[in-house]
Amino acid sequence: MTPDNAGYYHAAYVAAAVIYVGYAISLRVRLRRLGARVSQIVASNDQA
Amino acid sequence: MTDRIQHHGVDSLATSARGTDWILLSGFAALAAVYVRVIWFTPIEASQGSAQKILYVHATSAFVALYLAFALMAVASALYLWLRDETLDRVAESSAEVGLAFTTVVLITGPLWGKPIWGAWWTWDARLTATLFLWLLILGYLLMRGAIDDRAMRARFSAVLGLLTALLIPFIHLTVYLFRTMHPMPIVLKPSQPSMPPEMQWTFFPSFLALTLLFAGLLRARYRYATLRDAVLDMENAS
Amino acid sequence: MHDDARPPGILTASWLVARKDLAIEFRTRTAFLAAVVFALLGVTIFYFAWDSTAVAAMDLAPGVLWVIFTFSALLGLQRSFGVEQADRAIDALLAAPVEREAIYLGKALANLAFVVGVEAITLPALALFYNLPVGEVFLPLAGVAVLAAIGIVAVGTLFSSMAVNTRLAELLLPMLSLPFFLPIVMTAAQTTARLLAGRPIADAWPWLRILVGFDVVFIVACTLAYPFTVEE
Repeated sequence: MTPDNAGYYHAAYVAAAVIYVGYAISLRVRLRRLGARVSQIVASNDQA
Repeated sequence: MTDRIQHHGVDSLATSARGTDWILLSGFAALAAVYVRVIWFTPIEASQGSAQKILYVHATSAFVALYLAFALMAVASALYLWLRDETLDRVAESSAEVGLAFTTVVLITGPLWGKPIWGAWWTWDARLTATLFLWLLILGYLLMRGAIDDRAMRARFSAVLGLLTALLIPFIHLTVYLFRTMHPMPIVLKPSQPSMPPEMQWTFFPSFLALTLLFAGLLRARYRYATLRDAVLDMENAS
Repeated sequence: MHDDARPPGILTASWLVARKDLAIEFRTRTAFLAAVVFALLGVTIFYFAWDSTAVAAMDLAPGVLWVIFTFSALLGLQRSFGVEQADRAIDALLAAPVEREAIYLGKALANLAFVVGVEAITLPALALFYNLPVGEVFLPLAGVAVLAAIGIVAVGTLFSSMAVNTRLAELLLPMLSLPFFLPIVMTAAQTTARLLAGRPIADAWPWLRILVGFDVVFIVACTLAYPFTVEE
């Protein structure tokens, strides 16, 4: 008898994907924010 | 003059941060391929049902977290205390955070497998408990990092904590193991782990490789972030 | 009598540091009394937190004992390096011609006296309030308490010195220490339960062995690690 427990399996794979992709996106956002900060500093120094 | 060179370095770091991260993208592509393989091309295990497939993402993530992420964190911590290279501290910091993401996946997928197979979301098994405590310890590690401004002090404290954590985990495993063997717990369905049939192995090992690639991509991205962040702080302090 | 110009050896230096801390504690006595009152309150609150007709006091006691010991130890550890923060007294201590390891060992020794002191009052109080048959097993029980206290202060002293230097300060100490106390609490509580049930100490040997191993590993590791946390 093969039990029917596909719900747990789907939930696990969705959760894993959400965490990995979400973490990658958070890294991307943090990097971009820093990049913007760098351009700002470089620009203000070039003016001076 | 030195200022210009420094700016140039930071600028190129920032530019590379904006570019496409091919390693990370291929990591995700490999993971997607594994998902396809798991969902459509891997047979369903007869006695455990489709929930058995959780193993392909759970066990592999656990392996990457423990033997790559946290081993790297411990080694980088030890080397930092010896060589005092900031690079090593950034490696430790990055692998801790990426390891936290992997451990989170382990802790979420684990109970989702345990409920249908064991009949309980959680059991205080040695490996489960050690993983939970590792997760808590890494959270504490990252919180401590966030609470120290002096970079050299932060690096030294983190290295010490990283090393002590590596010493602690075997003790937790040992005590909980002893606890369990003395208090047997009810298990609804005890899954034994006989040798996997080849079709399953052809899902398991590629999945392990895909997650390793993903780990490498995430680690590099996180490391780049740490480098750029430190460079920006240096620049702000200089001006 | 030793030559005054020569710096003291590591053991003498540790003793001097411990004596300094204990002298401060003896003069003020605030932290110790606070910890004792906290422990006694814990004993009573735990008693009423359970249904005493459903759970025998005997089954409750080991857990209560070790939760209270750990938490009251944290109170003492909190203070260990907290007192050095005022007027940056720690700088003077670090400038003294003694080994860094001696400062750590001295601090740990003072903390050990603190924790054992709290235990020495709480254990009889618990036996009294919970009607425990501690008569015959008092000595082995005290031995386990000391072994556990050694492990707690070995780790806790190091983390106390680290925590006071962070922005989270006292919030960080329990967060860092409690995971490290898990093997101690588990082994000590299991041993206590066996002793209270009148079983021979040999029954608890697998647990005691881990506790002793933990003490040895973490005394060495934390003594070696301490100098890294106080460099300038």
